[in-house]
Amino acid sequence: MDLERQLRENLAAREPDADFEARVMAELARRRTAAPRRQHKWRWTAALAASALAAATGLQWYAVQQREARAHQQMLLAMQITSFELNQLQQRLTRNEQQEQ
Amino acid sequence: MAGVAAAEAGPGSLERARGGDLQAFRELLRAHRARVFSIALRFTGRRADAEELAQDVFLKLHGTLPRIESEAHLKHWLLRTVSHRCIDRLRHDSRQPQLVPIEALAEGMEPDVHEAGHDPLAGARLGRLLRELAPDARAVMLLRFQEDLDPTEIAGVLGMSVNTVKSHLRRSLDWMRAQLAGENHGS
Repeated sequence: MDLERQLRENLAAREPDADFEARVMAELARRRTAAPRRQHKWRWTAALAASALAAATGLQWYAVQQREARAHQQMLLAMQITSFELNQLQQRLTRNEQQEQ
Repeated sequence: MAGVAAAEAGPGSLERARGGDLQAFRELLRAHRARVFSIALRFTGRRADAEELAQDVFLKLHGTLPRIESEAHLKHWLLRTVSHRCIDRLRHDSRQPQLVPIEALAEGMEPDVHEAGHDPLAGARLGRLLRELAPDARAVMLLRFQEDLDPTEIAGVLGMSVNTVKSHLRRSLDWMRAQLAGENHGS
């Protein structure tokens, strides 16, 4: 008999065990019930991650604001000191001029 | 030709299964289980492994159903998925030497006892020779002689050129003929 015919005759389709179909359907059902729980868990994880990110961003924004406020205060103080020193100098110069006259 | 004719899924089964109807999915499973299981069995040589592989394929199919457009597409998807999984499994197993129980060696090819018109010895011999072929060549042979696909269809399923498919077929058949001739001379 020629080989190709032998192969066609002997490579007949074979059935899996009788409970194969039931096992696949059971596994499918198990996964379908497990999936929403997984999605739920993912939702919680995503919410936590978003909250953590928002908190970190807020803290960073607050720290930047604080730094800017401190710098502003320091600049005002420096200007006040400079202004005070200049006033002192001007008063001294005015006094000297009056004494010379 | 095929010992177990593939059952037909009811009309609209695919459409209903895509809509989430589990009964319709069961009809698809029933219609295609022999096709998928047989390929896996002839690759792995063990019923338990073949059933596990076939189960994985059907579970994956359920997640892929929204992308399946027609019955022809479904058959093509199943053959492609089971073939690639079998080839991957075989390549993985070949890197990890393992003991195969002696009773499992003939499982892949021996026809069922009640099947008439088959020579069990010839079947076992062909099964042994098929299992000696490289994974790609074995997939080509199974799709050609179990599923009766032509070289163009096999090329589409396995993602090969038609010339490669023809070359696998020619070389595998020549090699098997030579082996069988050698055995006949030897006996």
